[in-house]
Amino acid sequence: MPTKKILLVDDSCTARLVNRMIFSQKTNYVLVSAVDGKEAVERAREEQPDLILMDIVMPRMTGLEACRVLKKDKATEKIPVILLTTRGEEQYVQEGYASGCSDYLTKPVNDAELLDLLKAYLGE
Amino acid sequence: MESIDGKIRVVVADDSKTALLSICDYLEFTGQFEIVGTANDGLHAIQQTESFRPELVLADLCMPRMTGLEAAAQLRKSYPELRILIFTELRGQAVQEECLRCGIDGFVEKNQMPERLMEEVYRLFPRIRGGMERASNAGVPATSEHLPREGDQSGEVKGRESNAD
Repeated sequence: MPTKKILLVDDSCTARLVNRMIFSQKTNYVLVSAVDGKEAVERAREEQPDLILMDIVMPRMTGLEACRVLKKDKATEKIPVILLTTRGEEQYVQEGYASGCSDYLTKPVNDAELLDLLKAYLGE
Repeated sequence: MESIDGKIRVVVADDSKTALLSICDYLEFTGQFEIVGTANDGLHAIQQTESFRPELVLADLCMPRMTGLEAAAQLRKSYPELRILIFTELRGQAVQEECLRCGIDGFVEKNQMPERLMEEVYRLFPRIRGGMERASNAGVPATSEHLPREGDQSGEVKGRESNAD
């Protein structure tokens, strides 16, 4: 089975580093990254990842805006998007799903829970 | 000073506790490192090095009080045999050249960790390569060839590194 590719999107260098370190220990996913929503849209079109793991609050373009753009673009509409955010209130969750995301996780995210979710989307 | 079991004795320095913990977790996961000290700035890294005499110092470039680079320059004078690797979220040839001018042994962008970090470690400590390959053969995803790589299917990474934390 070909290696799956994940696009990590977060404006925090530390957050990206932590995810890279965790995935390196537990998976063999290929990782590409972007630092805001605008770059995420560009990289998703170029890289055609199997899944996008994206923060919401970011400069230039938020994760919600990026998700909406991705879902309107035929080149990226089928890529599952998991949004990660500290905002767990109901209105934010609803807004997240309204943007077209496949899942919405509230930080801090449990590593095992995240890896199980990725496995559910990407297979073993 | 090498560890009795051949592991690399290392001091790790980063002002972000989250990043520090994440890096230490990874190093322990590989089974090839003995973390003898951690530090949250350059001055602390020097103190830890003086106390524990590691073989390797792995330090973030940008830290308060004293940067990783300033600490590296001092350590290089006092401990010529010490291996020093600097990692940073900053990018660009100029930063890398400045680091190498200060006498460090290697430079790794955070966006290329851990795979690039391990490549640098293999280069500096050839003795661990065999151990890592044996681990890989046993099913542990330990060699750099098996690690997730930043953009390795697309050539050069285009993402900039943010200073946000």
